[in-house]
Order: sequence, then structure tokens, then C-alpha cells
Amino acid sequence: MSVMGELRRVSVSVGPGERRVAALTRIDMQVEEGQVLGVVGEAGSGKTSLARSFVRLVAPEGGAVLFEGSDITTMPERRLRRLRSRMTIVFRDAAAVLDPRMTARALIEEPLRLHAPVGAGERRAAVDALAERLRLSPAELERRPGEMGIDRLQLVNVGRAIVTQPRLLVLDEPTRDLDVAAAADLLNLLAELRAGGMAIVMTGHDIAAVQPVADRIAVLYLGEIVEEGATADILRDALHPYTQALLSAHLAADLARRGRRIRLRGEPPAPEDRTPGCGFAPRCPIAENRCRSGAPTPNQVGTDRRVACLRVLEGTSRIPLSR
Amino acid sequence: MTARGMTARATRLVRGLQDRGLGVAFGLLVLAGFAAALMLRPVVWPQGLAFEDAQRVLSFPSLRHPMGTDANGRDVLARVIDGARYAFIVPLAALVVGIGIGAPVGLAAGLRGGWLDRLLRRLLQGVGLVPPMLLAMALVVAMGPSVRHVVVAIGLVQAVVFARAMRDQVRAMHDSGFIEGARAIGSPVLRTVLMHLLPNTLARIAGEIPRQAAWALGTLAAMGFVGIATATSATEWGTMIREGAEYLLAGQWWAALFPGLALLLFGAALHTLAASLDERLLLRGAPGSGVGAGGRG
Amino acid sequence: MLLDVQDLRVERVADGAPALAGVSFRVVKGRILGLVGEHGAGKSLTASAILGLLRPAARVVGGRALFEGQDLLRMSDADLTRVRGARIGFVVQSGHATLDPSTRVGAQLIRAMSIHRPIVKAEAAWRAETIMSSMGIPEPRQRVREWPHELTPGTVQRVVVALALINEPQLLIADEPTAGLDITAQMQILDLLHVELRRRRIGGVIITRDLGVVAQYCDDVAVMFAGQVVEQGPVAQVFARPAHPFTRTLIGIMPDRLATGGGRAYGGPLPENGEGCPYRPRCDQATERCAMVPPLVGAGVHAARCHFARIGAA
Repeated sequence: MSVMGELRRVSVSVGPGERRVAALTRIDMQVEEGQVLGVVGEAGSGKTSLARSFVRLVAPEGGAVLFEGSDITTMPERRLRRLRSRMTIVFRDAAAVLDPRMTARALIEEPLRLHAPVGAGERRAAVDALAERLRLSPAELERRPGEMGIDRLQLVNVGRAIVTQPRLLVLDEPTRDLDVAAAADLLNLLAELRAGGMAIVMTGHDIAAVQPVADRIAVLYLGEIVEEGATADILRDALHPYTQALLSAHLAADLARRGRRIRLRGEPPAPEDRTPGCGFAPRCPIAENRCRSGAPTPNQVGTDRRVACLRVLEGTSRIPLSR
Repeated sequence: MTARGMTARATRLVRGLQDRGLGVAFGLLVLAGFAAALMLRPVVWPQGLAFEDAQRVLSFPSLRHPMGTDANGRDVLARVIDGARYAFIVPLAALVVGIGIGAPVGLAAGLRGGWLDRLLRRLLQGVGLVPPMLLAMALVVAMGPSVRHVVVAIGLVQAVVFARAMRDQVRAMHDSGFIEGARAIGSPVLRTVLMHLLPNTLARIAGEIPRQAAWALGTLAAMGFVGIATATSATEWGTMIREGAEYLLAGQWWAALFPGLALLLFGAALHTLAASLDERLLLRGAPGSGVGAGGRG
Repeated sequence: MLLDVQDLRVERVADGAPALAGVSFRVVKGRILGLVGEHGAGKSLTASAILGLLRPAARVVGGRALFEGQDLLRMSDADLTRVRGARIGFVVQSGHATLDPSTRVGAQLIRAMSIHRPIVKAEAAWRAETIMSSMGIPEPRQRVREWPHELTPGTVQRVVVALALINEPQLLIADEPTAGLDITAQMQILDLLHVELRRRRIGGVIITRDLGVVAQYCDDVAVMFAGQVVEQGPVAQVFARPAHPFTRTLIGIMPDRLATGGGRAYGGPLPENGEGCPYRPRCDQATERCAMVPPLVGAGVHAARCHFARIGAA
């Protein structure tokens, strides 16, 4: 398996001038061919910055961004442009991104016009084939964004990103505003694309949003990875207190989970309100004094897991569920 | 066809006419009427404008002079028709100046942000302190009265309006992720601006165009009325109103009233067009605005 | 029976198109009903119709909504105003839209009380603080003096719940009370609603797109599709033996159930209006029979609107 996208100790800041704050701090992450990486985080966790970093829409302040093994951290925009058929991104709000004057067909076709040296007939055929795969009807292809519901419009948005058959596809909260059935269809499509060898990074504010399709899950809090590992391992035995809280907030079909919750204090803080020590300590139900002074770094746990919690190494990070 | 369906259909029809059809039809009809009169007058009635009859100074409207004659014995109808020339040319030329300067400046400020944007906002704040009509008049006074200077002055003031509208639209599309979305599929910046940004922003500031034309018309007439639009007596409605106004109190109202009515009608036509254009643009919706999107809501 | 909605029909004023095609469900005192369905299924419209808030876009053309025996749909505006906010509390999707941005939080709570009954100011202020604290808002004495924009999204939603409960209603209707909130804040608000409804032993309706909310917080469920309730019953029964294909699909695609890569499509545009079962275009069991209006199968607490529904263990 070859690594398609990689972040090496990437730090990103956002915001204008003096109000600039750290959105991501020294992130290490990679996604392989035929793999779906789910990135979970709430508002202010840095997941959008992370998604944009993978396709080099933001230039990191520190660290390196790699695509297909080559460093693209400082690559000039002109050369990056040629890569943008092979690494693409889908944003959450399709209505904001898509040109309202263009039809769905023209929108999906546009990347081919920019990148593929093929004639109009071939482009048309490619769009038709893709539309069938997306289950967009011929009538829908002739509609403009204002005439489509958000569920259908997001399919156009995704179609634009995969029409050039990229090796790396990044999706930033693609299902957040969709109905559950449309979201399930999109996850099924991602599973198909993975089977074709695409490397996929997908963000969500909730483990549930990425769980059905993600091979690995990374949990972000205040711009740092607090836990990362194989999906099955994390679902079975989450080690970081925050991951455990997220899992307990899961709105699952399983009625036996009713009332079994880890209740966190307060709400996710803004990056500018970060306190020293462990960023999660102010809300953590099992935080100790040392958590407020020393910041934990992601530690390898077992063979395949990274957790940034001081109590993990002693095996005392699991919180009993309260009713 | 149920009765309820019929009523609903009739309601829709009437509302549709009110919303667009009637407004647009009225506006276009008035403008076309003025244009036709302007073009036909020299053919049908070639001697009309040249007519000057010292014997018939300030004569009451009659069959021979449907709108009477003015203090110089000139036919008011011919001069009202000819006044439409300025009413068409000055706002149009000013729009060319205003959009030609304002749109690129606003586009650049919206795209680049930074010092250019700050400079533009400072400038707008400063300019905003002075009533725009006063500003345009001051510019004309500074440059000297001539139609060309009127066009430049009005155009410059409008450039400020268009720059601001353009800047806000571009900024909104920038912030909503529209530009980044284009960048993400590898579209070069220039292409994004020309193919996506400009058509969308221009479509959305299009509502300003007839409104600004109406404002230019009013400002032109005001300048004519205070006597700074042209150096010599011109067939311009504001100028004609000023000249005719001298005789109003003496009961000779026609030399001032008819140019005034023409001004009112022309202005109303432009305002109606602006209103219906606004409505259409609102209905069509725009990216990020949420209007018109989400068809299943 | 606290609320009994029978065959509620609503149409759009603009073109006379039916928006609700006979919605029926019941809310029992002391129990929470989850009203679940997709975008545009008519969930919010149902709540608006019951509360008399449809105009001017839509109007009621049939049915009854009996609240403690009185038909809300035939009540005068003046009577309805006395019910709304007093005997029926309402929590809307966007909390910020509910709060008046130019009034301090405490004053809004006091105003909500004084609309419905005369109250001594000192007592009202005390009650405002008390309810804020029982909503889990820390330092209520400071918070009542704050402006809505100074509050976090989660706190805004707690204040909105407080506003809905302050007049001690018999029924609370919450329309997507956690839309737009992050997952941990969502859990806090749902927990709060659950606890408060239980403690007060009143009836609740939670409108949601997420069946997970129903599974974790509701006692009964009514599933809506295209302006109809297609299945209703106690949560445990419906989850164990869903009778309508749409309910089965919704349960089957919940995150902890969904197996990706099956190649089957679950979503799709809403069907054209017409005769027969509205779910037919998306149903994988549809036959010619589905072109006919499906019957309501089952009786008592669990029922579904499908030709092939089998209720119960049989």
C-alpha cells in the first residue's frame, strides 16, 4: 500500500492579522491508497484546516505536506494547479461553492475542461457515465444549483471532485446537512471509490458520521490529535476521555445504550481560549493537576494506536458510564 | 380543472403582471416613446427646433404649438423632445465612466483585501460624508460648466457606488468559499474571475444600473436648474425649467411644466425598471445567500 | 390523551398543493413522542399547523388537533394565544431567532411569564434565575443580565428551553432542538429536555431528522414521509419490528447498522404527488398494488400505512 496524502508535523494558523490563532498544531497524519481516514472534531477543532491542508489549499506555517510521496509544501500555485485533478476536495456547503449560473452538467464537466485533453463528445460521455453512478437523472443534469435541493446538489459537488478520477479525495463534513438516506448513499459511494483504490479523507463533527466507511479514525480537539487508530479498535475500546465522551453521545439504534453517557462540562472552546497543559483538561471528568501543567504528546499505544493522554500509559483513562 | 385551481391560476397571472410584466412594460414603453420621438422629430417636423418667433413669445398652448412657446418664442414641445437626447446620453455615458472605474477597483479590493481594501473603505467613508449630488456639483463647478464635465463628475461619484457594490459582492463570494472552490479544481485565478466571479457579481449589481441612471438624470436636471450644466442655454430639461420658472408667477406655466413632466416620466420609467430588476435578481438567488436554494425546503 | 391529531390536512396557499395529506398521531401525558422524517416531509409544518402558525404560506383544510379535548384548529386567535407559550411550550430550530437580541435574557423570561398572568416583579426575577439554574446554566444571577449574543450556542438553546418551560406547560413541542449544535452540546440539550419532561410528567414532541434521537430519548415514534405519518408506535416495538419499509430503511442506515458497499440507493428526490403509496418510487418491495392507497394496518399502539405491513410478532 502506498501513501497518497501525508501531513508531517503540520501547523496552521488562521484569522486576520493580530487575531491569528493556531488552528492545527504539529499534526502527523497519513492516508493510503484504498483507505478511508475519518477525522472527527467539533467546532474549532481544526478539521476544516486539516482538510484544506491535505490538498495544499492552505500553506502550513510549519511541517510538510506530501502528495504521492513528493513534498508539495512550497510548490508554486501554477504547478499545484496541475495536481488538482489528482487531489480534490469537497466542501460542506455546495450552494456556496457552485456557480449558480451553470447547470449541473456544466459544473461536473468543468474540471475535465481544465485538465483533460479530450473533446466535447468524450467529456459529455464521461459526465453521463458519472451521473448514472451518482444516480443523477438526465433532467437533473440540466438544472442549476438554485433549482436543486441540498441533497442533490451535494452529489453535483462530489461529482465535480471525482470526475477527474483523483488519487486523493478529501471531503469536509460532506454529510452534515444531508438527510440520513442521502448521507448513507454518499457513504456507499465512498466505499465504492475506496474499492477502486482512491485514498479518502473525510471529516465529521461526530464519530457516527464517518464510522460506517472509515478504516481509521482520528479525533481532533483544539487543533491536536487526541486519539488515532483503526475504527473497530476505537469503537470497541476508546482510550482518550474525549473519544469516550464522543462515543457516549452517539445517537445509536441500540436501545440498550439509553442514558449511558459521559457528560462533559461546557462547550468546545475557541482556539484563542486554549489553556496550558492538556487542551481537554478543563472539560475532562478525570483530569488531574498534572494535566493542567504538562501537555501530553500523542503516544503510541500497542501496535496501532496513538493517544495523547497522560493517564493512558497507566491504563487509568477509561471512564465508567453513568446513567 | 377545479374552481380553486382556476382562482389560484388567475391570482398568479395578475401577480406576475404586477411583479414584472407591467413594470417592465411601462418602463420600456416610456423610454421607447422618448427615443422614437427624438428620432422622428427631425423627419416629421424638421423646422420645429429652429423655430423662433419673436411675435409669439410665451404663447399659450395651441394647435400650432401644443405646449406653447417660451420666452424666446421657441416651441416647447420640440425642445422637450430634444431634451431627451441629454436624458439618454448623460446617464449612459456616466454609467460607462462609473462602471468602467468602479467595477475594476471594487473587484481588486474585494479579491486582494489588505491595503487596497482599507484604502477604498477610507475613501468611501470620506466621500460618504458629503451628499453625492453636492459632490457632483462641486466637481462640475471646479472643472467648469460643460456637458462633458457633467458626465465625468456624475460618473466619478457613481464609480464610488459601483466600487462599493462590487467590493461587497466579491468579498461575500470570497468568504463563502466560492473562489476557493474554483481554486480547488485547479482553475487559474484570472479564469475564475472572468468566467465565474464577474458574471455573478455583475448580475447582482445590475439592479443598481437603472437606479443610478435615474439618479444621474436627476442630478443633471438639478445642475441644469442651478445653471451649471452647460455654458450656454441648452435644450436640457433642468435648464428649460429654470428658464421657464421665471414666468411661472406671471401665469405662464407651460414653459416650465412640460419639461418638468418629461423629467418626471423619464425618471419614473427608470425607477420602475430598477424595481422589477431587483425583484428578478432576488428571485433567482445567489450562492451563499440561501435564496432559491434548497428546493425541497 | 394529551394531544390527538387526526387526519390533519394542510395545503400551500400559493398553488393549492397539498403539503400534509392526513397526518395522525397521539401524544400521551408523561411520554415523549419522536416525530421523525426527512427534510420536507412536513414535520415542522405539522407543528406550525397545531400551534396556528401556518399563515400566510399555508392553511389547514381538514382534520382535528385535540389538545385536552379542545380542537386547536378551530380555536380563535385570542384563545390560541392563551394556549401557546402557556399550556403548550415551543422550542424552535434556531434558538437565536427565538431570542430578542435587544433584551437581556432575564427580562425575556420575565416577559414570557407576564404575558400570560399578572406576576410580581421580584417573584418573576427570582423564578427566572431559578429556571436558568435548573437548566444547568452556571451562575444564573450573572447570566440573566447578559444579552443573547454574549451566550454560547449551547446556552442559547438552554435559555430557549427555559422560555418554553417557564409557564409550566402540559405539552412541549421541540422542533429540531439541536440543529447546528456540536455533538457534545447536542447531548447536553437532549439530556436536559429528557430530564425536564420526565420530572414535570408532561407530554413532549421532539421533531428530528435523526432516528438516533428517537432511539435514545423518546418513548413513542411517528415516522413521516411526504406529508403523512407512515408508521407510529412505541419505540421498543417499532425498532424491534418495523412494519413500514421506510422505517426499516431508516433504522438500517443508522451509523451502527449501516453496512457500506451494498450498492443500494436509499435516498432520492421526493416522489411526484399522486395516487397510491408515496414511498413507492424508493421502495424495493413495491408491486402494482402500491399504486393504490395503502391501508392503515394494525390497531392500538402500533400501526403502519403499507399494503404489506405485518404488525406484531405474527
